[in-house]
Amino acid sequence: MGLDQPVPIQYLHWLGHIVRGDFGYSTSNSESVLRAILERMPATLTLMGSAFVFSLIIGVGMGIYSAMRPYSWVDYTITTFAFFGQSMPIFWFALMMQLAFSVTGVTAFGYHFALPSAGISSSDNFDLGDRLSHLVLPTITLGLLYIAQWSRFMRSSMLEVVKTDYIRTASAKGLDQRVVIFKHALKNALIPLVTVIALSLPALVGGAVVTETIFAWPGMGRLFINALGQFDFALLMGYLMLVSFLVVFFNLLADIAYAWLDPRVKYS
Amino acid sequence: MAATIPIPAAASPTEPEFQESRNNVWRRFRRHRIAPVGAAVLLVMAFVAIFAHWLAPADPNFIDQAHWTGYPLAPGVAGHLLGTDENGRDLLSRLMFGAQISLTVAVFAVFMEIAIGTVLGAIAGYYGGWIDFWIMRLTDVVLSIPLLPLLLVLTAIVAATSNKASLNFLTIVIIIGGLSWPAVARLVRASFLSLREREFAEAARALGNRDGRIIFRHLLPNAVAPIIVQATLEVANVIILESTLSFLGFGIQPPTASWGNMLANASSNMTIAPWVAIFPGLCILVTVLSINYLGDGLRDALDPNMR
Repeated sequence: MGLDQPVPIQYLHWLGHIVRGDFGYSTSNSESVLRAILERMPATLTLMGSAFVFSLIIGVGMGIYSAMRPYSWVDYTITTFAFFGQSMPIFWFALMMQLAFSVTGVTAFGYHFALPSAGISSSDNFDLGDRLSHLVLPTITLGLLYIAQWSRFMRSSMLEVVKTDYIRTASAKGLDQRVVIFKHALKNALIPLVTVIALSLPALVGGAVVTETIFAWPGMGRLFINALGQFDFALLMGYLMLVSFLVVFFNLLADIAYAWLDPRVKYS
Repeated sequence: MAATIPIPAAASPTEPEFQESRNNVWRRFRRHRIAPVGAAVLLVMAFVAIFAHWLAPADPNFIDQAHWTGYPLAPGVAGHLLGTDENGRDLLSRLMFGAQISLTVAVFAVFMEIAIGTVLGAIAGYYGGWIDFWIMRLTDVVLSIPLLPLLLVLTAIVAATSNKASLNFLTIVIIIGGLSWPAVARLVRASFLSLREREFAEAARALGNRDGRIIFRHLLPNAVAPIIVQATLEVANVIILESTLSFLGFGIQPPTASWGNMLANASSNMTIAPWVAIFPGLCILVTVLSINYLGDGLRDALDPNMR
């Protein structure tokens, strides 16, 4: 394995193999690094994907609502919520979610609900309801920060667009406010959100690591934390390489999407 | 852009105008109703952290063996105002000393990241060309690697090459401060790109000042407002980062208390002792929330065009 070589040489050796698609073998259990990570990637992508969709819908919705009634009590409530969401340490929020919804549980309408606090499923047999119930708490935990960030961004972006001439024209025609907002303003207000979303991807990966650790989610984040405890550097480096590649790839997609969505943007 | 916007000579900062703008800053800050509250909360936190040694009811590492039964003591029991943790140590005292660690790590790491980010951003923005290109590519590289996993790997390298106890205050500060500067660098670069085209910069150049003097004496003071705002918000980020690292076991090592590592074992006792899990996180939340409100107020006050 070349462990007798100095670290820089080991690194170049590793780099040489990486560019040929060879991520090497885990030093703790001799598993192929690439296979170990790819095996756990679907679980992580499920979690990140559902958190992404969840926060996009809630965040954008809250942002639009805020912008439609600026400086109303609803707007202040949403803004305050966003400040709390941005200030929340994700691991503590996860613990509190477990405490409230799995340990204590919620009693409502004469029923006692308790959501699962660990794992991806209760049994090996696929059961959609069971899978979804396991997904609820991790999704909310991971999504909170992005609901907060994106709703604030959406609010200011929408308020910016509402000031423009074409919106004034649309309102002056006597169109209903809802039509003006959703048919005319929303499209332009959403464009800058693409960049913000692309910028929050690295933090989403980091958040997934924490969320997976606390909810015992069998994804690559948890694999990473386990490898960390065993100082399994082949796996750690492979993981970093792969997630960085993903981040760069999605940033590229975002840049292309940006030019496609906004004809005013031209890359020379 | 610089060629199309003529700057009238009268707009250069003169003494009385500067005085007035300072009053405006203070007025705008107070008009943000929550930011002063945030500042007050932070002052209290800082006071408690600085004087933890005198204020804490007990030694943070003292195990109350007279009362401890192997389980956390509930708040109020045996004179422990917030109870004890799973090792029978006074929770309030640990929170106070934890504040000391968490806040100092944050402040020092932010000083470091502001220093690196400002110097790199200023150089990139001032010189432009290939210097700018390479500094910005370096920034892009650091930004594209997810920060938390990268920090974790670095702390693991430190822990593996010496031992886990070497993950002390200084190591954490250097690792966090050394990697979170890109946002600052981008910000400073952006201000320098426009500042270097202004007339007073040209005048400073025409007088034959050295580049270093123009950058730090003439241009930098004009870029301070956004840097202060960013620095404030970065303190909040670093508190969260440090507590996350410590929570995962790769930050501040026990028995030294930090808000993050106090939560590390809390989840196993959550059914019988939820207070052990609640209070440290509440401290983080309140502190970070106050900082974020303070930063928001400072942005309104210092940089009214930013909204």
